[in-house]
Amino acid sequence: MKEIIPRDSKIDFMSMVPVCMVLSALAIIASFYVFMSRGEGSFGTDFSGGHEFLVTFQGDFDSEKIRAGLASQGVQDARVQAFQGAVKEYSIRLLEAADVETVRGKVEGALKGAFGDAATIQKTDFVGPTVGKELRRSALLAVILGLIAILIYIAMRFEFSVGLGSIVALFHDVVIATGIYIASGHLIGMATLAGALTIVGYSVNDTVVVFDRVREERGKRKNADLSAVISEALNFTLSRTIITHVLTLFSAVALYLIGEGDIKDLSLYLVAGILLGAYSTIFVVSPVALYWERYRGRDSVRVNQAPEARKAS
Amino acid sequence: MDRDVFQRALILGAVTIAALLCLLPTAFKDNFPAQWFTRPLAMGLDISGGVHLVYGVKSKEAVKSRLQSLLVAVRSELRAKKIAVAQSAVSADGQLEVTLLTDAFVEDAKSVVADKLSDLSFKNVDSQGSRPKLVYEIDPRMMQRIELEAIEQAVETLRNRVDQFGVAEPLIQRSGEDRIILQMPGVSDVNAVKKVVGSVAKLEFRLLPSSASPAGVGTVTMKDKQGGPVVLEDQALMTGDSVVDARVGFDTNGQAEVSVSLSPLGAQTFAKLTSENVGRNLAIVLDGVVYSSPVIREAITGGRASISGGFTTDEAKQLKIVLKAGALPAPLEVLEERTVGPTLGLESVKKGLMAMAVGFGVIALFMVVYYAKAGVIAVTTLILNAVFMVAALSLFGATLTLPGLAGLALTIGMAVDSNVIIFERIRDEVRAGVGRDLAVHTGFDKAFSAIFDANITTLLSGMILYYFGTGPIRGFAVTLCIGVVSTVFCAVFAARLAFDYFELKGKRGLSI
Repeated sequence: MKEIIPRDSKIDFMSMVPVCMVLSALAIIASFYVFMSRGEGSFGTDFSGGHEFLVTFQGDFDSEKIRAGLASQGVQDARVQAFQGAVKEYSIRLLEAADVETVRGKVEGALKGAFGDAATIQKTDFVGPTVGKELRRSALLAVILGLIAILIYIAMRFEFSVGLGSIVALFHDVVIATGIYIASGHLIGMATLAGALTIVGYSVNDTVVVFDRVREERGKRKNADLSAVISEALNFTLSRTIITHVLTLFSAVALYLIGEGDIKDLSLYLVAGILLGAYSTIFVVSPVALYWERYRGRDSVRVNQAPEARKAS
Repeated sequence: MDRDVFQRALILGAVTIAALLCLLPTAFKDNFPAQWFTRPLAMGLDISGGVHLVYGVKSKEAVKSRLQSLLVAVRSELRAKKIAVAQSAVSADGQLEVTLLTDAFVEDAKSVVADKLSDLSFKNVDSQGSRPKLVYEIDPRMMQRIELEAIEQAVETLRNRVDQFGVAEPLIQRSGEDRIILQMPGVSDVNAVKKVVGSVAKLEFRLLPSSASPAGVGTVTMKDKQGGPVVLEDQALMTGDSVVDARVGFDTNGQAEVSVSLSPLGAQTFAKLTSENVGRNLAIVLDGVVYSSPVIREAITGGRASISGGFTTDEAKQLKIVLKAGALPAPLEVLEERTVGPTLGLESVKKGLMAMAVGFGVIALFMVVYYAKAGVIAVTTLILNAVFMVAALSLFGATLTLPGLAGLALTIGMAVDSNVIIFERIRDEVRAGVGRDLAVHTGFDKAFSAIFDANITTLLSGMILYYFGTGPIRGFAVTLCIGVVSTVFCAVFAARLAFDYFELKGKRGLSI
């Protein structure tokens, strides 16, 4: 048997909680600060409306050159962003309210005027302002309802405190991952949404796996101290936690290094999310669940039994 | 062989064969007969390239144009009864106002309208001005019905027009109250699509006013093709509804023209209107633009008319399509438009697939090195899992989009996790000194509750996302839900079967 983690690890995770809570709080505040300071500017075309063109250029260009070239042809206030890849792609965004033909014609003309045949439009997006807001609202509604469903299910199968802890953790993971994402110059769009949903999936999965062990251990030793049980369960599941996260991280990094465009953006978000998901189970869900049970004075009362395992065949 | 293992092997075999059958069209693409029960897995526009449009139907306009035609009807009824109308209009808030010349005919006028036009309800007589103004309004339920019909008819018309366009597998779908989603894979000229699909194509025949115009017929000003003003009678004598066929031809000067065939009833109306108005100019108006206004030389009884007006051959072809497919009941507004060039989509798919292959390779390598034979079982179930997911997608006729790929990646990640949870559990037991076979049994049993709860949570949020989400969120949710079922089946059922099989064959101590 090859082993990565020494089997009888006894890391006292709970003693690290205070430090981590300060770190998490700071990270959340920083994320909100980033989000607030960008305001509407954090949203991409999908969610704020406007026109977006994805253009490839033959030859040596940079964002500033393209912006200046467009401005010289009468297209002002274009936001140009570069995507790294085998071919250089640039996203050109305009917030004008004019209709698609007009803007497309204008941009096509300006590109031709400034760069001749070097520029090719690969992709155009137009999202009407009302549609952008609606997409944002429906996405938010779906995600909030999804979170409530998760809270209810986990509260039923585990404890309310665990459900509460996992919601706090999901919030923590998504806010910080999004903060990092925005701070690194990305905009919130549909790809981000898919990324956020994936992060939520991994984070809940992680919580369930660890607290399944807590549930099992508490079933065995009904009078044990909750803090000790959680700490033990975290150590029991440590080898799984590390193997799973390293493996998924590998895939996300591969996507980041090889992928392009939306996939590349998405994988950056995933890398942050996978790391945060593992962290938050240990340092967010556990303390929140523990403190809630302490507050209710139930931290040494028995919890729901694990469901009967499927009978061996 | 143990009966239980045999039965489970049968189930797994049956599911695998069914999945492969679902995938046949995807594997062989066009060489596969179209009668097969699944189609090749469709790629979303973000992957395959194409045009995605979201139209909003301006259904209020349909109500307005209905009011306009009611107004014309009211006026001609009144004219037939020799009741003089000073002015008539549709007000901004959707009321019909008819101003009479004198007070004398108010009651007569009211009864004429009540007799003939039950759609309208009389509101009041506004006598603030010097002349009496009869105000009518349209029943709100009626108004709602017109709006609803307009939206349904718009979907139908779009479908007809898109069929004419001849694109493989277009998607036309009503969304929300008054929106239509149109997706055309592989199409890159969005402007041509919009011209054919999005133009109202309201064809009208109107007379130019002359001294022969009957009293009470007003005038409207429209534009000609160059944008100059043209004054016309405000009453359309015929509309495009009676067009049954249209084709492109060339006139004597070699200019493209569109000739239309009229329905029998339309032919009669046309014959009547041309015979009554010989010598006058008849304007052919399309979407408020006057294309031509030739002089009527003689009655036209053949039920054919041609529209010329200096268009290019392409314009004539587009006009032919819209005339054949019928007019839209209300104008459309582009709310969202996305086009993806075909090479871009293909490039990013290639890169994405390569990245996924590399990621999967790393995972497979690790599993085999770390868990030995058990790792081989895990990798096999992962591959099965991917096969099942894609098969289910093509069975449900789902479209694979980038968010969908993210959903697939998430479930593969969770499947790896399920294997790791089970194997680590088995190892725990082995370390505790339990015999290998028993360790496998206990490990699977103990790991089950974690895997079960984790996947049910995911399934739950997947279903909510599907139900409340739109577009891309739905694509993500579909693959997530399919993935959860397939993952539990592969990681628990199939993997356990493999372990049990090796145990039966007596290979004691399957390495893990």
